[in-house]
Amino acid sequence: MFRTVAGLIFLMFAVVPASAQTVEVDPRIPAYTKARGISGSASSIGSDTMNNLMALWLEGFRKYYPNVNVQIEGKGSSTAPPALIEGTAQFGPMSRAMKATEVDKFENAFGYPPTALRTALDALAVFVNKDNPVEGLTLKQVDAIFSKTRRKGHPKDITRWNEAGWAGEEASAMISMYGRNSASGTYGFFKKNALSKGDFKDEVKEQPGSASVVQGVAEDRYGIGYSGIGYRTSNVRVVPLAEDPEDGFRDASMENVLDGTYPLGRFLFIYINKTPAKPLDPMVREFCRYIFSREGQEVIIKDGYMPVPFEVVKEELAKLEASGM
Amino acid sequence: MAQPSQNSAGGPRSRPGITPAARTMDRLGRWVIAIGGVGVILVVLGILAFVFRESFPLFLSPAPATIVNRHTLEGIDDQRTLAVGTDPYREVAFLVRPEGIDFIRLASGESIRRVRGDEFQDRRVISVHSSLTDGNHGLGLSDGRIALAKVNYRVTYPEGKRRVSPEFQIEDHVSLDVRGEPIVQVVFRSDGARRSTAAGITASGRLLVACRQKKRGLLGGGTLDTYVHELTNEVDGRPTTVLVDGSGRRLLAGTDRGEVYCWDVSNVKAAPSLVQRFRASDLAITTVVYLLGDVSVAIGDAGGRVSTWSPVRRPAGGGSTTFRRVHIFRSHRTAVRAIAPSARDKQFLTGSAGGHVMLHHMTSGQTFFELVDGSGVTDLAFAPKADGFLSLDAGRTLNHYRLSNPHPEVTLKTLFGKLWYEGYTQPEYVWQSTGGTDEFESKLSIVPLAYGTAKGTFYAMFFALPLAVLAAIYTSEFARPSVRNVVKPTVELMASLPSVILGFLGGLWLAPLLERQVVGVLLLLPTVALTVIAASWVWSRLPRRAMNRLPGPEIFYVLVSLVGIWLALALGPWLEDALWGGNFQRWLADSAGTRYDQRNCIVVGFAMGFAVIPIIYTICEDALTSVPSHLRAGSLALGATPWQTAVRVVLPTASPGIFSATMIGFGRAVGETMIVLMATGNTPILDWSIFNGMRTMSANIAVEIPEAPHEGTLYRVLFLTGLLLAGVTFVVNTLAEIVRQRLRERYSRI
Repeated sequence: MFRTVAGLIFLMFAVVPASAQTVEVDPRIPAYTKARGISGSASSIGSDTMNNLMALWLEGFRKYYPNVNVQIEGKGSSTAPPALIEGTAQFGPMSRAMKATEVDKFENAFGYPPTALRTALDALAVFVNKDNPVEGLTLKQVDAIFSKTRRKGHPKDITRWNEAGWAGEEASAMISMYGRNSASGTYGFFKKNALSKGDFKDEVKEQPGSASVVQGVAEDRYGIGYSGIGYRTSNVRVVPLAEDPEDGFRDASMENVLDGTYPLGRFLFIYINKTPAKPLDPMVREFCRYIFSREGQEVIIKDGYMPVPFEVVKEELAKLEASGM
Repeated sequence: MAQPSQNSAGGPRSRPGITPAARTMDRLGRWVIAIGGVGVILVVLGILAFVFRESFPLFLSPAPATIVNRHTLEGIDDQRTLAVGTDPYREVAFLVRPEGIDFIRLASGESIRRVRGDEFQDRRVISVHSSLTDGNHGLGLSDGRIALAKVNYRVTYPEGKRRVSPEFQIEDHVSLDVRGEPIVQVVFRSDGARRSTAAGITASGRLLVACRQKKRGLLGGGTLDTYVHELTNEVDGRPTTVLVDGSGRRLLAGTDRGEVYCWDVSNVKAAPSLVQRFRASDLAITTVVYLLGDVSVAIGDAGGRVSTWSPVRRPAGGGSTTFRRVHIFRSHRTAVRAIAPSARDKQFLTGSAGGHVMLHHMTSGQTFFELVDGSGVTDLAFAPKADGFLSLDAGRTLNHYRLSNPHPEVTLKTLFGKLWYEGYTQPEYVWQSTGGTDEFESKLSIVPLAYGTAKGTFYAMFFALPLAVLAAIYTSEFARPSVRNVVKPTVELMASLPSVILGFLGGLWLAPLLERQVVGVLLLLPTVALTVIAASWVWSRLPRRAMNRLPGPEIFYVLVSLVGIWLALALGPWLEDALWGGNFQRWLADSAGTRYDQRNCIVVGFAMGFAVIPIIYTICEDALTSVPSHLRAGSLALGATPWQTAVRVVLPTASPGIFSATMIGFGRAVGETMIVLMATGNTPILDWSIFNGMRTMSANIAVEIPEAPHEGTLYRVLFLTGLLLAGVTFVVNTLAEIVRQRLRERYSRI
């Protein structure tokens, strides 16, 4: 008994430092400065990937302004544009950029386009079960596993693990694919970048949330799924990916996302409705300012995503100012 | 309803002891119930009407385009305008003229900006190509060069009002033809990063392509290499039109002999290799245009015929594709002069030399309208937001149309028929409603969803119906009252389990468990049945004395069933080893080609069974117990055994009730949402196998309605599936009611 406990403790210490990432907030990003007289309520409707992130931001924000209340609902990025248009939400977190048709609908309603803020970086991760020994996958292989159109040009359909680099007798098992439902921005981003705008196979199991994708893969030895890196758990393994097999497999780390060698890096957006040449609602402005402060960016690391570089912070803060340009 | 009570007691009024207050309450009650009943009917009808109203506009044909205004442009003969374009708000139009570029206000026609002289270095513009989404333009010049221009519309909001200011810049020139012939057909596309391709046809019919690639420099920038290749000799006949895709992989050219050539130009340095050559028409090809997404092309010929072609993967040839014709559209009868794709969906406009303009949609193969627009269309431009278009008549008149076609992708054929989608090897039923980009071709076939609903219902009923009905017969006919008093409330308690919980347990707890023990679970039915029969035989052979010492038969059978379950689960792995080499799933995949999915119909059957069994059981049980006891007593008195009585007398008499129970259970299974949503993978497949999942209509509505923009196509299609569900339930319930009435009439005489 004692030995098992000791072994477990040893394991914990052995594993944690290895997986802990050395992600830090850009030191040039200034700390948050409190404004006066901020209170009120707002609501946020959109991405499921960013659900925890929004909750953590709100928690941090309320330390400054206890009278602020924000309701957070995360059913999928595609729910954000309708909510912004109908005015039921002030914040529309999205894990993909708005489509032109969505911007059109917004413009029809307000006469100007919505304002996109790039709040965090995410490496869209491909997960497999923790017992899966696959070393890495090329994007072509990922496409051939998930897509029936195979736009990336892999010559053959991949349905079994031995076709994707898992050696051994067990690997003749069929691959069991998990994905998000189509309301998800992750679904859209994955479709656009990993499948080159192709179609998913009908056999991909659509899960209503990122957590259930990861849970599904954790319970399914032959499972594979994708979601934001923030949903990683100890029962799944993030597969290193390669755009070009010659460059070697790349981990979903911040450096690789920033220099573009990890092929599925993306921004996590918050869309807001800002009338040009008019100041923003003070509470919305302060919430966004908080996100782009040192404290707000540290929250991102806590949730498993990656903070944005200082240059991005500067640009996004400029968007919050009243300007007709 | 009031009649029997009046007959039985000669009218309530005459009955003594009824106070006026009670009578008022009576009347009040009758009114409240009547209003409530009528209200329920009205609400149901109202919901149906609402659902119908939301889905009906899918099938309305669009209003034809309406003209907004018309401008006569300056210039005669060789000064005529070559091409037009507009900004996203249809405020500014862009005119390409031989001597330069003009921008005019679309509302008034006043000129805003002219680009002349230096920028063109006194050469004339002969031809133009505008790329659909990025503002890149290629201008074919009279000296064999191509000017690469960028048109950008800057939108500002001074004082909160929108202002569009056009910006025009020539970024570079490509010397395409060293002989300096005028470029009569031009195309220029860039992938926005490192790769761009320009191609053109010269006045003497030579086909040239310039591939450009930027090398990644150490300190940014980098050098730009241009490689020009001539393809004239590879073409039989004279090339008439040329086309390049955005990524710079494919070059297409149409000829005056009706053929289209397709080259692979992905390697900039090597000469392009001919991939495919196909006959698209008997007449000369006049226009070939990529539709949004750079996958499919629309081809117009000199006879006015318009067709779309999509690349289809060769069955044997690995990843390579060939173009195949997918749709032929209504003919113009005169030569097609211009094709303008929409930047929002798969619609496109065609204009002919005879002055006709038509609007088509690729996926559905529809032609929406045809309008007569002057004497001869020379250019067409779809407005970027697909809410209008410009047409250029004989290079002199600019017509500005407004257009509204909210649901071009829906017809009965796209909803219920097999369609050949872009990149598919054959026509298929597919449900895949949205993608990450506008280029995505929505696939809205309801067939896989209806199939999924039928499949889910079938397996749920397959599990639930026998269990529930047999259990009801047992408890009402054979069990002791004390057992019945325990079993019935317990089963009814099952109905109170929220379906989310059932779905959650099914998907995340039962499914992985089942995967490990699938053979054992499949063995459950035979093993438990055999053990119970064997135990019964033993029971009947036991001496009376021993029998009395044992607990009641119910407990005995529960224990025996548990033994049966244990036996099945213990035998499962052994059988799996013996018959299927230790892995049933792999055997299934190898020999039957069936995928074993963790979230499959067995899981759904169990979870849905939990939801459906209590309903069927309770109603069945009530129907059986309410069979008049004199029937039962009579049958037993005449010497029938309890079994004979149950099967021959009680069951037929209770059959209307059992039938209703089944139908109500069926309705519950058809409409069940949360269990299938969570316990299946929501996979829209067409496969009856019990070892994989399904996507039902109700779960599909729950999954997709939050993202569907109000009054968008998806929103309406989801409402349509809701209407279908309601329709199915209505028809089934009506039929069930008719059958029930017949049964009741037949057995009420007993």
